[in-house]
Amino acid sequence: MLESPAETPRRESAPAAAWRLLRRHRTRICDAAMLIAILVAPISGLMTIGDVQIGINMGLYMILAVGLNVVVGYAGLLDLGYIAFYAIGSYTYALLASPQFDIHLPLLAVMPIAALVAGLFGMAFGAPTLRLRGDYLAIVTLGFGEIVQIVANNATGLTNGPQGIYDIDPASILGIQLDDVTGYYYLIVAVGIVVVWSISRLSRSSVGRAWEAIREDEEAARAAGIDTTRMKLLAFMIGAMVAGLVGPIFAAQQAFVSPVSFSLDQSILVLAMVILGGMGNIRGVLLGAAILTLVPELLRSTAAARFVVVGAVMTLVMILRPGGLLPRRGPAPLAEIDRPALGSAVPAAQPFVPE
Amino acid sequence: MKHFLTLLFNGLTLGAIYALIALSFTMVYGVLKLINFAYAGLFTLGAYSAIWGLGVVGVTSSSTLALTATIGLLVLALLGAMAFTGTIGTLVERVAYRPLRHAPLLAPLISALGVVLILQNGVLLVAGSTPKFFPLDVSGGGLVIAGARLSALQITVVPLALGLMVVLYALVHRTHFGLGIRATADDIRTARLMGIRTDRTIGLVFFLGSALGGAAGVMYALYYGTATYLMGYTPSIKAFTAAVIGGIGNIPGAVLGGFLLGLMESFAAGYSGSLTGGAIGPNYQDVFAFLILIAILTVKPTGLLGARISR
Amino acid sequence: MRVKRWMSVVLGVAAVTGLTACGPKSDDSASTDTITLGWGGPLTGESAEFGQSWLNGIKLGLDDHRLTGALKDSKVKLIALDDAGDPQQGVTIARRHISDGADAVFANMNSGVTLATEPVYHRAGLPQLTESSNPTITDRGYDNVFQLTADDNLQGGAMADFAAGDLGLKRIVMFNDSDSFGQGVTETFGKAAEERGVEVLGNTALDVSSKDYTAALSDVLGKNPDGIYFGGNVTVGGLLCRQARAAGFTGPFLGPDQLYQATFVKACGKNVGRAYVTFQSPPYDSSPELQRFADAYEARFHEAPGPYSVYGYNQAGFLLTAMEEVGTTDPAKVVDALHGLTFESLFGPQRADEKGLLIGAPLFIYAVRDGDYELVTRAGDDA
Repeated sequence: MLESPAETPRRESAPAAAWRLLRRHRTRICDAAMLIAILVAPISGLMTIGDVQIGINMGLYMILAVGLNVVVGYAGLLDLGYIAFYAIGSYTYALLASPQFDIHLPLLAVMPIAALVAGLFGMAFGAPTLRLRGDYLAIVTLGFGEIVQIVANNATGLTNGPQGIYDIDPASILGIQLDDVTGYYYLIVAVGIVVVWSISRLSRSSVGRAWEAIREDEEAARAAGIDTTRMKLLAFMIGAMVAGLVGPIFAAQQAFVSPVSFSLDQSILVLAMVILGGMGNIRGVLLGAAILTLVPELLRSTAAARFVVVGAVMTLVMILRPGGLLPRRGPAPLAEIDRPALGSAVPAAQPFVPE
Repeated sequence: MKHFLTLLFNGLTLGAIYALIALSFTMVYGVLKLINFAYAGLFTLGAYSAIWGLGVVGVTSSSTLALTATIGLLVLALLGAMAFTGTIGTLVERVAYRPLRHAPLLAPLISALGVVLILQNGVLLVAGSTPKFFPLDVSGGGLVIAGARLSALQITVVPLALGLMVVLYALVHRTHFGLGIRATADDIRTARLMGIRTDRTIGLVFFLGSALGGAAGVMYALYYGTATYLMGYTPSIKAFTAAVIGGIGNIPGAVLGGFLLGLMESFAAGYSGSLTGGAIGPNYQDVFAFLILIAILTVKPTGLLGARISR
Repeated sequence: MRVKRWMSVVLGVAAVTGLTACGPKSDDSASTDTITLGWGGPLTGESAEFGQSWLNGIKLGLDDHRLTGALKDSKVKLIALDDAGDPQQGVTIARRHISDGADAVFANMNSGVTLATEPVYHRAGLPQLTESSNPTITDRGYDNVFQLTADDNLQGGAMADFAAGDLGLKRIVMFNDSDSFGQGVTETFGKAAEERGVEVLGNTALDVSSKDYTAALSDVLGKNPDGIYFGGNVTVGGLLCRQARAAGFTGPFLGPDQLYQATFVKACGKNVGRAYVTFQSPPYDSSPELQRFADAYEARFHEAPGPYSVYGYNQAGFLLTAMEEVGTTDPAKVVDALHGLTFESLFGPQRADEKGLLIGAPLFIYAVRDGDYELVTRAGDDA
């Protein structure tokens, strides 16, 4: 009997239908599962206080990675001084909620202030320098990061210099003081969800598309009518504001800030998280942050060897997956080495050649 | 006058060392468009390998040697260290960068960072955290000009560094091999089409650059007397800055940038106290250096001498 | 495409598992079979050699101490975790030690890190023996903190006395390494020196990332001082001494206990000139115990002990003796014991006062002579 398969479609069994549904929404299901795991873990009894602290560290780095991703991954600006904005945010809280000047504002009030201050610094710094391309911008942002750290270390009257500011007020949400780690953990999760959601929406908006255009080919974007300088500045400021927003949480949780926490190493670490995880992909950078927090922590007892392992992981991952662990979707940026470096001052000699 | 001359001599010596590393950066960048952060590790390896090598032949800090013997040993140690770091550098290129030639742009950067971590912490694991001392000492003697001392050390380091730079320049601009380098830097596809063995050229460029980085490390350890596992970190950042100031990819630019940066730092540290009545001291010297850098780049965004290795 | 998706799931699950699985779970610390001690300090980073030196001293001290009484069959387990001189890592280590059931901790070395970890250990009630010398650490009212090391106030004051009195110096310039120890100790030296009529010509903060201080020296030496006081660690101090001599300065070079180690003499080079340092220990050859310590340290770690090594050795003995006294590792009892104990350290009898400061810790002034240290005189307080 000749039956055309098209005429009699097989009836789908229930399990098959369920599996198909699962696969279709796999990303959302993964996200939901991760979210539930993150929310439940601290109170599940599986995590010790030490583990929750590690979770806090990881959460803060994740948010920083999402912020830097806007600058590096979306707008394509190489920023080697990102941690300066984290410093600005942290010190803002340290100055407004500690014995230093005897001002005691609550955390939730300071967070938007800190974000704003960081954003203003971002604007002040970005406006004259974002015209620079590629490696030049990298050096200049590095310089900015160093300047902030040096000033924090030496403006003793304001920041108390290397001794740092201690006895910073703990966070107090709606009158309940967050004395322990679990409270801060959930605060960071909440802030993180808000940040990730906002940035995600932003990346899908016209602003996000403008950034993508600039990243792919700045000349063409400008020709298409996009105000590239303004858009780059916007990305830079948004990145700064994200770091400035969570700086206060860091300061409140540690109850202490000193310039030592905001070194070039830290800026480079966050950059590594972004690139390792997958520039331009939020899930990717979250994963990158997780890995670069967990691996050194798990190996901490080996002291120096843990950094050798981290270095090996970084090099290996890059060699095996050059786009990062979870590369950004869509066409990969140009990769030939005869194309000028990321936004270099010398324009491309040949026309756009898609990979 | 004495103060000024002291700062001048000091700045020139510092500048010479920065210029050497800046050259390494700029050469590799010119050819591969890669910021080779791994230099921090190669710099350190240069110093440690020289100290180790000298120790193997029995020279330690307690040895007393005649000046000629010292200079002779220094040159030998330098060559040995350069050969060693050159080789390691070539290996690094093959393992960590070549697979990424066609990769998205920032991937080699992170690969380089991974290499630095491995190299630096590898040194820490093997050699420990206690500083090692450079066994040769040319600190005695020297000249006194208008009250300012120009030590034998400075007289040694600066010509050595300049000599290496001249050799490099000659190599790149006067030899056939150098022509291959410049062609590869200009347009790798065409160079390959023209029959230039670009992979080998790149490998050799890395060898040269890494050897220079190692040499800079040896001179740094000689000048300051000690070597620690993190010693390469700050000089690399400064040298990268210098290369960018001069125009990255540009050999004379790197040299100019290196000397400029060394002089800027020296004068900033030396005069900041008196100029501001002690309010801003030498601890701010990096701030000055970077502010000047930002100023230069704002006025000349491609660096002082422009950007291409072939020009 | 499918591979990528599943990989992200797998990696995500791995991440969460890592979160929940990392770090061993709480031990039953009430048992006296194992004394669990945590250590937090720098084993990587700029302070790596000092952290290592401190840790080595502690290890030697723990191994040398034979437990008696109720604890005589207990084993001592030391969990050493690297904080890289970073306050955040210090706090993470603190919480891990607490979760791992540590009975007491040696933490931390860098003042900034200790300032961050103190509240954490205090809330857990663990005895915290720190190597940080900053006076603020014992000023916060934490009764579980013990600063069994020479504190900045003592060192600065003692050297100021010596400089003004014995050396007859009239114009001193100060340098520090822009770190809290360095700044603290130079401040106290400066104040004490001025009280004795010495003119202090300024306190220059050096940029530690640069190894070159010639420019700063040239500026400062133009004021013709007759002495230099340096506060900070030996890496910077050695270089400064060397460069000061190269610049032609012939006056005395003074510094704190950080400079009492071979690294300083070597770093300063052949032309050390007159250099004096304060140090809390009598000379290593002045008593058989000290000599034995120095020899044992050299044999085991293949280098001469640093200043923090001998402090660490004493701290280990101090802690274990306190535990023996109360026959338990119960933190509250041990804290009390630590406050009341008079311990026979390598330096003689020592006690901790109610703030946790060390009493019975005389300071000594040493001169550098022929590549080694020679005792000049004794300074500081007696208990």
